[in-house]
Amino acid sequence: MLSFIRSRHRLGIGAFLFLILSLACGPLLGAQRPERTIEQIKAVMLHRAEHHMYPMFGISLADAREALGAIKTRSQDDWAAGWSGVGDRYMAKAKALASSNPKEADENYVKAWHLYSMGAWPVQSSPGKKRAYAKAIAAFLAYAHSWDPPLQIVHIPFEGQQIIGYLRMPKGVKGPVPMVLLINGLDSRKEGMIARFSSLLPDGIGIFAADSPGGGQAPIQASPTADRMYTAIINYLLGRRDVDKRLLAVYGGSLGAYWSTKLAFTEHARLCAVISQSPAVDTFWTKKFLMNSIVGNREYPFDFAPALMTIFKGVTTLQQLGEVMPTMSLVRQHLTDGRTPPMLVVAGARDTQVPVADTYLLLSSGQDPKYAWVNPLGGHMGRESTVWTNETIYKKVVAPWLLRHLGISPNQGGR
Amino acid sequence: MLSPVSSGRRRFFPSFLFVFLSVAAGNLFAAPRAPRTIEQIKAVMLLRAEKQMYPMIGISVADTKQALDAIKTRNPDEWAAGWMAVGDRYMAQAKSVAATNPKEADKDYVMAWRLYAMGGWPVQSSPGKMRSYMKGVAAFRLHARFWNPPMEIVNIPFEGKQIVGYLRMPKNAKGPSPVVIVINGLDSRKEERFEKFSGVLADGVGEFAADSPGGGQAPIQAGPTATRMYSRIIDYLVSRPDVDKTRIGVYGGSLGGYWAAKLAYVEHARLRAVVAQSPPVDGMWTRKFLMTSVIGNREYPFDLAPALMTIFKNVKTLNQLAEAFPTMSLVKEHVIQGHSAPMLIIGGAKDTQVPISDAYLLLSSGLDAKYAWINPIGGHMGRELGYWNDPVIIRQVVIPWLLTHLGVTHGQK
Repeated sequence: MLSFIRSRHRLGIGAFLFLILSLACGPLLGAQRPERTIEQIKAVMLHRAEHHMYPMFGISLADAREALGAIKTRSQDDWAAGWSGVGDRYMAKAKALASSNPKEADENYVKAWHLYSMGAWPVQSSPGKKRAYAKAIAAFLAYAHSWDPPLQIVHIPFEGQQIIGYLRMPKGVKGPVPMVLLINGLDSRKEGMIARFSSLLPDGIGIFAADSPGGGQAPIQASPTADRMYTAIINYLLGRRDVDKRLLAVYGGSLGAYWSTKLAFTEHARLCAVISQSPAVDTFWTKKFLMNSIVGNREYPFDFAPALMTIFKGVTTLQQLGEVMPTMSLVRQHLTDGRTPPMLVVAGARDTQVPVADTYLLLSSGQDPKYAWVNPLGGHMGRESTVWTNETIYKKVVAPWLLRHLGISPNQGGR
Repeated sequence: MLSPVSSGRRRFFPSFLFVFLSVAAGNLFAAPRAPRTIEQIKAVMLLRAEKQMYPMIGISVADTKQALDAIKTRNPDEWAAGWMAVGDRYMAQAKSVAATNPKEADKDYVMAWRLYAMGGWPVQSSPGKMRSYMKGVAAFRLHARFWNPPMEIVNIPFEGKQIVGYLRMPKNAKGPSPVVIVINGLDSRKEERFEKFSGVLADGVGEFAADSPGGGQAPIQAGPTATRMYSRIIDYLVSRPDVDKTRIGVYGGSLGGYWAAKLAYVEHARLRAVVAQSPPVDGMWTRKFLMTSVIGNREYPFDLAPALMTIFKNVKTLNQLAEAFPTMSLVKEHVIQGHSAPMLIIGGAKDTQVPISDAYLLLSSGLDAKYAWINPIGGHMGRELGYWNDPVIIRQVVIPWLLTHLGVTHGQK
């Protein structure tokens, strides 16, 4: 069963409502850049599909055109229906081929998963988007059913609820293995993380992913104490006999990098390496940055601020978001003064979603040296449309650094 | 023959003159911080010898005490004489056992070299310091005679003069080998940097070092066009059949980090990997930084600003230094907008000699992604009193990164 995060905290914030709220808060917070219109959103999504740019990975131009053609308004359910309509076709095809041609069925499950995920993008803040997300998980699990080594669905008891995690252990390894805990961002989910990092398995590394606080199937909302969810996950992983207790690493991207950075300080004694890709440390969490860069952000396709609202408990207005964000600052929490395990901080100098100043602040903070990889032409996550794409950064920067710090030579093919 | 850099350009710059000039310039600039007195200098050098901190690594407390006891004033020749006397003792001892106990002689040559180098520290701005430096070079070369693979002294014709370089190529190389060009800073010299990087030989990588512009045996002074000296060195190296033209790396520390960073851009097509440790990029080259952080700097043992004056042509006053400084900015030179070779930038967040903001500026500049290693409790060069001292940073950060980016697997050879 899919257990969605407490739906009473989820907000059906339509763009019109957001605009009204923004205008209402105007006198308090200053004039904001308006969000994109539906026509502008459609244009940007089509452009990104054409250039295989975030968040349109794995979605063909033809499918994007078909889905966007069906979307006429900024209604979230309209958005979900447009993408789900195309996803349904692939899902039906996959099911029809499941017994006769499993390979082709898999390809169709993957496409359905990507399309449903886009229907639920950026967050599951309406009934239609929740339905699309549930379908995305179902398609992903149907696809993952054929994985070898298999995907294990793990339920970790946590504060009367459950952390739902995905675990993959490498094949044919004798003894405990290194493990990487994967943390997704605001709009990505554990499904994408576990799929992307599966390339580490042949090197003898296990991987684990659970949705980050406030998103997907996470049991709690984001807050200054929500890292306790990861402490429970670390307890679980280190309690497993097949995990090497000395070799637990963490990767976090975007909002996930906030959590990975926080863990680097709070869990430094139990972690051997941490990668934070575009971590929000301090400046990101200011009201000024919210109003000047997050609201109406053009690097993000649409609704960055409304999406951020959904991860916090009881936040339904821009003003409330402006009040809660500063509580997340790692500086205000006095966390960045302490020890850290070896860290790699990945960033783009042109990032408008998380300021690169937060990366430089992190590098200059604490008691231990940190590595960084900074792309002067890169935006959020350090990515660009051509040379340093998401995939290239993963293959050439993130994965090799992880392998080195887990004591594995790249391309060693096992331990 | 040892050919010191054009001595006519070398300036004798005693501290009283510096203080006088600083005060005279006080109307133009904010009041500078007073330089350390000789007693303060002696205390800091002793402390650094005790803790084996830069620039006293490899010099014993006993030898330091002996040298410092003989120094009573801030006169640079007196400074040189104090250290040379202790160095002479080791040199005599080395020569006396050279035939019977070469291993022992080698140890004494090393000690003599380090002590002479300290007599010439931070720059050879007086006749006594120049003598001490030359003795240091001679002692180093006697020590280097024990090396296998051997050190080759290379003289590269350059603008009617010569670039004096040291080269070591790995043993038993099958075909051309990668080479790292090692660039020293303001007060280090090719001898010291060359020895520090000899660890790369075991991994099949050669090393080359020549004194950076304005220091040691360099044929030219520092200036916005002085990178031409390194272009000539690269020309030389790529012309050698035993050098892999596609795998030339550069390391530069401190002021050497400036040249390394600049080369990463201007020679990006010919360089495979560049490490710039605490590179001055822009913020360091401002009048404001000179007046507020360089003058009377306490992280540097003594005379950072006077030493900097000696690397530039015709700079004799603080005002002239403040005028020469901005011409070196890589931003003002429009250098850091283009493509760069793969780079690792090393910095210390508490660096008072080169602002860490210069490392961050470099990371955010240009057209190519760069790596960094930043020590939040590190000072200049990222070093600290604890674990991350100079040799550890070189061994654990610089060399592994260089090897990886030169396509060499550590321990493969």
